[in-house]
Amino acid sequence: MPNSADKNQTTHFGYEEVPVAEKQQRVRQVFMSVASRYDLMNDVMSLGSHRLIKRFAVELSALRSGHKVLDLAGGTGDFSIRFSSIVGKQGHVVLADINESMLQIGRDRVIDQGISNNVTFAQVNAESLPFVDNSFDCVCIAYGLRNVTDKAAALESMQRVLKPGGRVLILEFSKPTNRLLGKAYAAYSTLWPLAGKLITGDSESYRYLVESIQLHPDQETLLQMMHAAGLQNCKYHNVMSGICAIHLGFKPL
Amino acid sequence: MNQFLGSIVLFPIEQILNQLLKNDAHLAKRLSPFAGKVIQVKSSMPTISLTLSFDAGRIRLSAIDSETLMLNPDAIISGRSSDLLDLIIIKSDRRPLANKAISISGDVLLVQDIYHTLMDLDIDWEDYLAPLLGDVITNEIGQFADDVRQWSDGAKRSMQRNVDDYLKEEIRVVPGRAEVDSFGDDLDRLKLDIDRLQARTDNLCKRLDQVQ
Repeated sequence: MPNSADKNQTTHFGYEEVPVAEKQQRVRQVFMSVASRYDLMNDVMSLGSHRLIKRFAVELSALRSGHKVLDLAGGTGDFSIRFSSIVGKQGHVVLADINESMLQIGRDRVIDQGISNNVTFAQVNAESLPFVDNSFDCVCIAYGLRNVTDKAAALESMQRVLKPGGRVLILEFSKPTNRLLGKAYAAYSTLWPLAGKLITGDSESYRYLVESIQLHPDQETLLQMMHAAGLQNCKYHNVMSGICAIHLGFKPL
Repeated sequence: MNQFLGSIVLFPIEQILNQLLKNDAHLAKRLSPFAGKVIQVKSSMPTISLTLSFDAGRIRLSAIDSETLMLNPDAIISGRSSDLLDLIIIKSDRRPLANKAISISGDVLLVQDIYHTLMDLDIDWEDYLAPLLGDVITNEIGQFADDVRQWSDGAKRSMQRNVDDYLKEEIRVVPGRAEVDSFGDDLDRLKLDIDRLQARTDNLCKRLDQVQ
């Protein structure tokens, strides 16, 4: 619930400055608009590479049978389905998203895969997670952090619900380390709103996506934010020369 | 090697291995004693780190180091990529793990057991690849693998022969087989002569003692 101070504060929504209280609502509209074609658009935008990146991220989660994992901004359930087979019947996956449309699609996909015994669903705000302290072995947020209004609060909240020694895994678009590749990628990403228009009938949402990637903290800044949230041994893996980065951080024992 | 690229390379290999395990109960049974074990392979030239872990009925291959995966390796195998590759490609009656260029730390017996179990398996890869890739591509891959194996064996034999000739005949830093054999015969003869001389000396000493 926004407080009175929030009313005067602004934050970015893409390149636009909007009141803090409004960003959540506008992000919600974006994902409601794209939810039904979200996976198809991911394939188009990443040329299919998002599947390989997600697999690598799942490897880095180091999950084992019996682990409990929170899949934040889990959207269409890609990660939850993978996590579910790893943690097994003794483990548990919570597929969480702030957006009910995305969560609905995720729940349908998980059920369609025949998974019913170790995945539950929760509509939550990453900034104030409604879970008991020290309850997860891993908290994963993939392509979600840049849409969160207060990233520091979200990281602190993730740290709180992690078990001591547990890990936060953040997969997000980042800053290419190769200038030439960066320029090629920037040029390619200008096509996304057009692709969005053709596939989902909505170019504005994908314009926001491109802008939000540009404004997302770079690898080192996010690393510092993770340290500030109380995580330790933080590190990151650049994927495809930094187009994406996977950050890892651990809750102190 | 970039861990992400390593992950891409290892993914299909892991898939095929696990498909094998799923379809072959005998194979799964042979590997079941290794459940829970972790082997780390570190190769140089190029630098590659590979974590091999055995779960119940499943093998995991990862290019991510065991520390990040929070796995405590039971054994670590290190060596040059070419030497490590020889372990897999060349089926030898000799003891390939005894290669001095390969070092093994940790549970050496576990590595030997896993190695011999894997080498004893008679897997027809083409049977498993054909449904995935089609008969034509699988046949081409099989042919290519055979060619590479033959070329590798031939190149290795040729290299050994050339190095042998160069060291023995060209720069003569080591003797040839005939010279070594002749030298050995000379040594044997000398040893016999010394033994005879020793016997005569002993005999003479005895006689001198009797005369005195």
